[in-house]
Amino acid sequence: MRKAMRCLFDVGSNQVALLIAAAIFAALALATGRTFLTPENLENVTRQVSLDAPVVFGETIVLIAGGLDLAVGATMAMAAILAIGFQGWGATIATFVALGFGFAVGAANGLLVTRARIIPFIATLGTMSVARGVMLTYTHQQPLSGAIESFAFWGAGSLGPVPAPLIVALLLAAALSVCLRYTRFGRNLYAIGGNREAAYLAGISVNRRLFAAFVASGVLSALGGVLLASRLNSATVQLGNDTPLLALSAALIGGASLFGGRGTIGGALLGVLALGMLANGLDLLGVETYHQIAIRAAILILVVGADALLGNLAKRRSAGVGAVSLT
Amino acid sequence: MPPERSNSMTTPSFTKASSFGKPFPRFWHSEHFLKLARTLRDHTAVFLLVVFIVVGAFSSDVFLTPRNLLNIMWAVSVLGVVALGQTVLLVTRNFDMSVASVIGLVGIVTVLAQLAGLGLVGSVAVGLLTGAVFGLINGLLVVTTGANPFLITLGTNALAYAASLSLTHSKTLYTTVPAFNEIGRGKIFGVVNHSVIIFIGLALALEFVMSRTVFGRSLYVTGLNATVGRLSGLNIRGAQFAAFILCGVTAALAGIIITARTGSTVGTAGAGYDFDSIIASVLGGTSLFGGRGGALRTVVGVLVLGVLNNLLILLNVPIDSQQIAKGLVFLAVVWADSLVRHV
Amino acid sequence: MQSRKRITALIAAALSASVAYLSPAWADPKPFSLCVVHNMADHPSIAAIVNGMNDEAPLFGAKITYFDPAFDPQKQVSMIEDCIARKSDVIAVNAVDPAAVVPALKKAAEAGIPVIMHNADTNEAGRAYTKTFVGVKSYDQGYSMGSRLAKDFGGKASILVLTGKPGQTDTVNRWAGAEAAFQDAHANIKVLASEPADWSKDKALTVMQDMITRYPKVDAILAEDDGMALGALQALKAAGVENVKIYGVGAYKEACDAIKRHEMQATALHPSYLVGVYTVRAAYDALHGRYLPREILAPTGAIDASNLAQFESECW
Repeated sequence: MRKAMRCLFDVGSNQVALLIAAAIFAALALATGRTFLTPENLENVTRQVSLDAPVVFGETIVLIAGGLDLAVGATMAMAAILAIGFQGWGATIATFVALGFGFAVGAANGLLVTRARIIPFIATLGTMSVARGVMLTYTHQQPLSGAIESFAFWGAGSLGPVPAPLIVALLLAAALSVCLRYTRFGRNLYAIGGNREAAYLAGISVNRRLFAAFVASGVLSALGGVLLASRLNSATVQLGNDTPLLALSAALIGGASLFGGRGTIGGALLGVLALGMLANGLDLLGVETYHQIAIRAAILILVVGADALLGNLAKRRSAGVGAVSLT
Repeated sequence: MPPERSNSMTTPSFTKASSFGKPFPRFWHSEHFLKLARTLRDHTAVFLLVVFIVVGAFSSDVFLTPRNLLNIMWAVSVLGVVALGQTVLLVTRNFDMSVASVIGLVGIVTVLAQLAGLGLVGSVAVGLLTGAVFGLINGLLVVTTGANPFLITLGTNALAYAASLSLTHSKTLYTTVPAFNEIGRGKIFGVVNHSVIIFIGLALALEFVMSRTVFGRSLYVTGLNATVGRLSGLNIRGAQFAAFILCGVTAALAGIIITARTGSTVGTAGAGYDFDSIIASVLGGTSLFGGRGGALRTVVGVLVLGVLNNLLILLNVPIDSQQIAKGLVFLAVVWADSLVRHV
Repeated sequence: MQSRKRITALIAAALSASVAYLSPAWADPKPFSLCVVHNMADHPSIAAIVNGMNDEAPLFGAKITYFDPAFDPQKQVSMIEDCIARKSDVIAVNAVDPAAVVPALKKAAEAGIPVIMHNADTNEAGRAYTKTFVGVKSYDQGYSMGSRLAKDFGGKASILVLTGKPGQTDTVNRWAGAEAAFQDAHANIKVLASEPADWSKDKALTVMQDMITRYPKVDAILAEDDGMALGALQALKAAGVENVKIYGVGAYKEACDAIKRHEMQATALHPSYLVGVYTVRAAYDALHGRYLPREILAPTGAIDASNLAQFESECW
């Protein structure tokens, strides 16, 4: 059992994510009687997935560095609200205001974690709460709407048969992959997540890199929010409530770990694709709401639990106490 | 043997101030500031409570009337019961976010039991049992995998909500046992509400258990240093399980009180109690990092929130920025917590 | 004003219970699929709509599938798109956010699928892509309670108000309706305090306890829905305050019972069941290209002890 788990573990995270995504794809193609495979539906799925992708990328980057960001949903929602609220100044300025907010939340998270040394999930829980409060105050809980025509392209438009947000997501994925794999910043993040003290002793400026990771997550979440605002042409405080859990589930399926030091952007893309296809498929199959809620919850528990088991296994092995049985 | 808590950022090696960061002390790491921080941190809630009471006494002529004070006690008793369970869990360095939906689910299950013919005692027992089962599930998932309790209980929270929806199909159910409603509405000697008595009684009982019994001490040791506890022969796993079950039962109790008050069920009855119960505990002086806190402190923390809410209504203050304040207070208290801890 | 005249007419019509949207019951049995995207969100009003839909569906051959975006506009858009992908014959939408659904509605219209709004409408831009709106006007409900209150007190009263979640359409419109009614009646209604209780009975109970401590001498309480009205009723009972008239909206079964016992003064009819029924009928008509009015409104109006017997079947 343990060996099987370890094999699965060592095969490489992307393959696992690929396997899960492919299995869901095949199952849905069979179960929905080809509805799933119609071009219109595939366009829907890719569009829905592309909107979530930037947030998942951000979460993955923070997870690689050994952190965790629960503020992604609130950041995304507030960015969407700002992107709509500042349309009067023009779409470009509105976008930058939104991204600037993402930067600010990310910076706050980064400072709280590196300077005040509050553990990430509590620090980001706090900023999430503050961001939601700012949102309630700013909007008075009223939905905002009305964007400039051209602004709608990025979320709702298409280039030929390809949804515009998919192009954004793929370009982003490529850029971030290169950044994580080939730049010193990227390699440092893995080192920090793998063993923070070793990274520090090896001369990596741990605090600065961690700070940058949180800022990246904030800005990427805000980018997700801008795309969302562009697609919906409106924004409300109700957006993004489930996003932290979705982002986390997707990132973990994609091979990242709450223990840090692992994960790739490609895997994250596959993870969010798997969850997006599943949600779409459950809708196509007409599965009842409460079953869908239960399924999503079970997936979360499963990936977080499996991550913990595997992580502890790895830790124990490296600490030389592998003889203790987990079961 | 149970694996260690998963989040690598909470391992002692990282939290040592010397392991990384700049070597020279900052102002807020200086001895004086830390002493101040610790004093403030230990008495945040008492300090705030005094301030609010003084403000209330001067700005509203009804604030200090016995009836208003009883109102406050009555209003906070449900949150108080939840927060007490949460406190026990926080002391062992765990969280329970599932209370939000367990509260609603327990209300529904209790009324369903009444509709099936069970009386006061039977239906309450079924309700409490439901809470205990959810606590047990949380405990099993967290303790056996060593996973982050926050995320796991968010998952079980969704499971409880799904169960509520599937049991009621969004319909409202009404209680059928009049004696049951008395739990929420009745008063002892016509003065003090039953729910207030339950809250205070539970607080005193838990304070006693936590500070005077071996089991209570094992809760603290679990939160402070599980390995040491295990080596000195304490049942660390048992303590964690017990804390999770206790938290489930207190959430159930809160669900029963809410249902008895309103006489009807809603699956979302507990919305917000997850974060609020943690805030109340933390405000009272219980640490999010385990090992510190107590039931009576939580009573003070809950009272701060209750008095604040009461004042906002008595003084007709718009509540738009309440959420921001909540978040900032949370961060400030947690910051003080981690400062104190890093010494 | 034009709209007020319409309202007066509507209330008169409601009270004579003659407004009904009828579609032939000899519908051809050919089944069609109806996709319903609405917030279940644990609300009994939605449960009543679902009952209405489920009861009416077999008569018109509708096969209904329900989707719940849980108040998330993004999810609602995805779900409408999923309905389009399922090639549903008709889609019925209860808008989470009037503006956010527009792109999805447009997509449905482009795919040739008729869309019916129910319970909560889309905005002006969205109406171009929808066939009709089936629902109850929350403004009218507020108006009927407001005018009822003004009448009961001969135009002079001090009241406490419990509102829903700030900013939501129903919260805003019901209060706007009540205020308009006060003005039309030239009434001198003094609002001592207004607090949001977020549609929650439990929260209304807590908030009202504090409000009644501050303002023990109050004539009436106006709550934006019956759940909150019932919470307020319990707070009054607990505080031993009597002779306060309570007005709600929604015609909950529990509220109708309270009116019967003269514990509540009045509530505004909210025939959710009918909204469900009419939505299925409208879906059938839309599918068969029949004429549909821009709005199909289920009747509203005040229910009190005098006419309760007539409307009790609409309490849910």
